[in-house]
Order: sequence, then C-alpha cells, then structure tokens
Amino acid sequence: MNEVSRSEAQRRADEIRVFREELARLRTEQVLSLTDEQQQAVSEHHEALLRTYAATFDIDRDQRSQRLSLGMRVASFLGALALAASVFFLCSQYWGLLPTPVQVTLLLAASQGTLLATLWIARRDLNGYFAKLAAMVAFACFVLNISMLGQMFNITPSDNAFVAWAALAFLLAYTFDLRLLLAAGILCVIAFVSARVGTWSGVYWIYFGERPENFFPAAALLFCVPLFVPHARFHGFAALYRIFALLTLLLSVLVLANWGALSYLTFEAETVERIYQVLGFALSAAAIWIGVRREWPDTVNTGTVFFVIFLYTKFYDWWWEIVPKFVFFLIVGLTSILFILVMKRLRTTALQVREGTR
Amino acid sequence: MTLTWSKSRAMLAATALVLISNAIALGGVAYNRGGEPESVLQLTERELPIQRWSWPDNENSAIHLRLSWRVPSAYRGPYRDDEVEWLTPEQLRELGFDTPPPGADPDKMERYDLQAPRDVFFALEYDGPAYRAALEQSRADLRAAEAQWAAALLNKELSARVESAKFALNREEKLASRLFVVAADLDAQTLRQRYPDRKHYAIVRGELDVYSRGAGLTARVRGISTDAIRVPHVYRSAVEPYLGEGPYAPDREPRYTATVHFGRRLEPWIVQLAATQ
Repeated sequence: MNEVSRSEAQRRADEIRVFREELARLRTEQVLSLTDEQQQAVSEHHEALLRTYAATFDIDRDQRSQRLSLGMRVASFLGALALAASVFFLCSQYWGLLPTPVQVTLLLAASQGTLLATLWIARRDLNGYFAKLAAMVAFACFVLNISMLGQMFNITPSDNAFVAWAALAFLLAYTFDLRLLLAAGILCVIAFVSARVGTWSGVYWIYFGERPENFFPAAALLFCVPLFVPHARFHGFAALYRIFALLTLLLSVLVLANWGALSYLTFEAETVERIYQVLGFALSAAAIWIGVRREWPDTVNTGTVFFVIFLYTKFYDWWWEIVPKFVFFLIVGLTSILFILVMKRLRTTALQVREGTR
Repeated sequence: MTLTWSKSRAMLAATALVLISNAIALGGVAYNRGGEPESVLQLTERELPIQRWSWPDNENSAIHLRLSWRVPSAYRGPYRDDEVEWLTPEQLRELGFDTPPPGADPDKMERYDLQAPRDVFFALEYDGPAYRAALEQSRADLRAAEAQWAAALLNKELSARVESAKFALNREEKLASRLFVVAADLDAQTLRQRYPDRKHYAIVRGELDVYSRGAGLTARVRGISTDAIRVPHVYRSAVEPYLGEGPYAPDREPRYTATVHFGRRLEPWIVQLAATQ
C-alpha cells in the first residue's frame, strides 16, 4: 500500500462509510445485491483498511466520532492560543529582571524546546491533536523569539522577519497537516511580498497597505502555487491558497473601486474607480468561470461573493438616492433570483460537459 | 538517492531555520555595534523620557526610554512639533513625493494627501542652533508679552498671557527636548557630510509624510524607526524608581543622564546611564 497521510486515510474511511450506506440502500430498493462471497470480500477488505488506518492514524470511523473530533480540533486551537498567550505574558512579566545573555538563551531555548517537544509528541500522538497544538505553540514561540530580539537590541523593524516566520509556518503546516499554520504562512508571504513591492516606490515598508495595488503580485503568486505544486496529499491546502489569493486580489480591487485616490495610477480618482469597478466584475466573473471549469468550489464561492458585492455596490451608487427604497430592494431581490438561475444554468452545463467527457 | 521527507527531517530543518534566523539577527546587532559608533550623544531625561506603553506591551517588565525629538517650527505650542517647514517643493520631489503643480485646485488635493510615508534619513541635532533659536524665541515672546501688558496698564487679561509666556520659557529651559530634526535626505552619507560633528548630530532612519494645506503640501516627520531604546539590565536601578511616577515636571532637574551610541546600521543603544539625584 502506498504511504498515505492522515487526511487521505480519513477521506477513505468516510468514503467507505458512505459506500456501505449506499450499498445497503440499493439492496433494500432491490437495485443491486452482491453475492455472499463478494459481500464478504469487500467487507474484509474494508475492515482491514479501517483497522490499519485506526492503528496508524486513529481516524474517525463514524459520524459521532467526527463530531467529537471537531470539538477536539476547536479545543486544540483554543488551547494553542491560550498557551501562546501564556508564554508571551510569562516572558513579559519577568523579562526586565533578567540579564541580556539569559534573555537571549531563554528565547532560543523556547523556540528549540517547543520544536523538540512537537517532534516527541508527534511520535506518540496517533490522531495528531496534541502534535498540532504543540506545533502552533512552537510557531508562536518563534514569532516571539524574533520580535523580542528586535525589541531587546533596538533593531530597525524589517519585513525580512516575515520570511523566517513564513518558512517555519509552511514547514510545520506541511509536516503536521495544519491548515491554520498554512494560513499564517500565507499571511506572512502576503505581507512580505506586498511590503517589498511598496518599497520599490520608496514607501516605508510598514505602510504597504496604503496602496492596495501592492497586494496584486502576492495574490498572483499564491494563486499559481497549487497550479504548479501538487497538493493531493494535503486536504484543503490548495483551496486555502486560492481563497487567500482571491481575497487578497478582490478586496484590494474593491477598495480601489471605491477610493481611486489610493491608486498608483495618475488618472482622476473617478476614472480609476471606474476602471477598477469593471476589473472587479471581470475578475470575479473569471473566478466563477475557472472555478466551474476546474471544479474548485472554493473559487466559485469566493468569486460569487465578490461579484455580488460589486453588483450591489453599483446598485447602491446608481439607485439608492433616486428610487424609493422598496424599489431598490426589489431590484436587489430580483437580481439575486436572476443570479441563482444563471448559476443553475452554469452548473447544468458543467455537469453535461463532465458527462460528455466520460 | 531519493530523500524521503519525514517528521524528524522536518524538525531538523525547523531547528536549523530557528538557529539561522537568530544568528542573522544577532549578527546584525554585532555588526551595528562593532567598530566606532556612527555618533555618540550625551542625553538627559529631557531627551530620553521613560517610554509608557499601552496594553499588552505595558505588561513587559523591561524598561525603555523614548527618543523625544522636535522639529524647528514657527508654530508655537506643544501639539504640532512634527511639522517640517524647511523642505521646499523641489526638495520634497527629490525625496520622492508627488507635488501639485503651481495653481493647483485646493479641492483636488486628495491624491497628494494620500501618499504613503517615505523611508528617509534624518539629521538629529542635539543642543545646537535649533534649540538656541527655540529658546530665544520663547524669551522674545515673554519680552513682547510683558511689554504689551505694561503698555496696557497691567491689564488682567494680558497678565494671563505673560504667565503663559513665562511657563513656555520655563518649559523650554528645563523640560523640552533639545533634540531637533533639522534635515532629511535619501542618503545617510550626504547628511553626515553636511553635519560632520558626531557628538551633536546623529543620523537616523525615519519616515516622512506629507499632507495638503491649501494648494500646497506640508511635510511632517511621522517617526524615527527605532526611538524606543531598551535600558540595559545593569542600569535598570537608575530608572526603576521613577516608573510609577508621571512625566517629570519643569521645576526640577533631569534625574538621569545617558550616553547613547548609534551604530553602523544607525540603530541606537545605551552605553551608560546614571542617576543625577
């Protein structure tokens, strides 16, 4: 059997459960009935798989287990936040009472110690909740490590810290299948790339957010990552890259569509706003189109949300002051219905295309 | 040979990353503090008041002193000590700002207002011509207020102005910082050539901002990159007694003095700190 990740094993276990339910339904409806031999062979194969996965990954074998796992994930996240805050305030409370060499040693020890603890826990923790918690605390300790060094030695704030933080976040995210740390790493990449783009025009890096176009290269980069790097073994990672890419791009375009004076473009603010309004519609429509074609529901949903936001923003600009409010909301409602019909048509077309290609 | 990725290898890479990041940060500190300092200033509590943080930074038991600086200005008052009046539109363009053409419409200045702050170098002057000019201005204001009061036959309203002018002079003589931002440039070496005295002029990194006023632009010093300086543990006792007190009042002398070095990366650190009382 090829080596699988925990998320792949869980997905397979879920598919086996659904298969068994559907098979039972088909037997009841007298559509399909396996012979005793076939039933036994399938059953034994599935049981062996599930036993292996349970022994290796401690997966959820039924819905009740899944609900409990969700609770454990939430507790794991809150626990990591609380532990990280505890480390931060512990440092703060006694920091000034310690000589500098001791402070540096403690910072390094905290970062390294939590990494070693993460490895030790991971070797013993089958389902990974404790390992994930430890990984998040290790990341928090590293962020604290670099920040506190900067404060201790009066180092000029630099965007280079984002590179180190992103590197560790990605390393831990891919090792422990942690989407939260992947998100943290992605945010660090967005900050670093946008800050660098901002400094090319001489702006102090901290103010990179004051020009939304600074975010465009980061958005493009993130969207391309899952296109060139396969993520089959990492459930949800590719979607997370796409969602952050689209959010970064479309939020920036939305801001510029309403506040053109923030743009690098030297046209009149109103002209810039019109350009970005058209671009906003085009990009969100393109996101829906590519999401339908590639079967990326995350892309379709994000594109849809922004298309609707751009549309309703225009409606507000055009009609809020000049039509009665009931007419305005009637237009909004009718547009929503039209949108549903269009999306339904798109879905049917996509289904036909998929069935035609089988 | 194919390298398989395992949790152990990942943790090894993570450990290396942590060590390398710390080495780079500490190496930068060593570089900054190595060799001769770029400048050395002997400052007092007036220029280095205790930094008061808001939550959660105020949970930190470490003590920081804040570089308190001003900008020479014709405006009198404690609230706008950051406006720069000595940069011309030409100089602002050289620093990278977009400036409006002559006769621009004052109602269409939003684009210029929204320019992001620029990363520049500043020349910080300590106890130099800028401070003496501010002191002389305060004395002249007092003389003018007293003359007006006498000419108005000791009018009560004008006596309040005399008191205000006296308070301003007292503040200028005993309380206000003697550190002034006197120049800005994109090149630190150019500034150092203009101000070669390393005991009275420090070159620092900072941010310069602009905003519109009428049909023109006014520059403003947004901040100095590293203006909160950590008090070394060995000197903590010189400042610790004053932590719980408010900002010091102008009726007493500064309670401590500090020697601040600025290194090769223009980052400051306290080399010596002593209580004066």
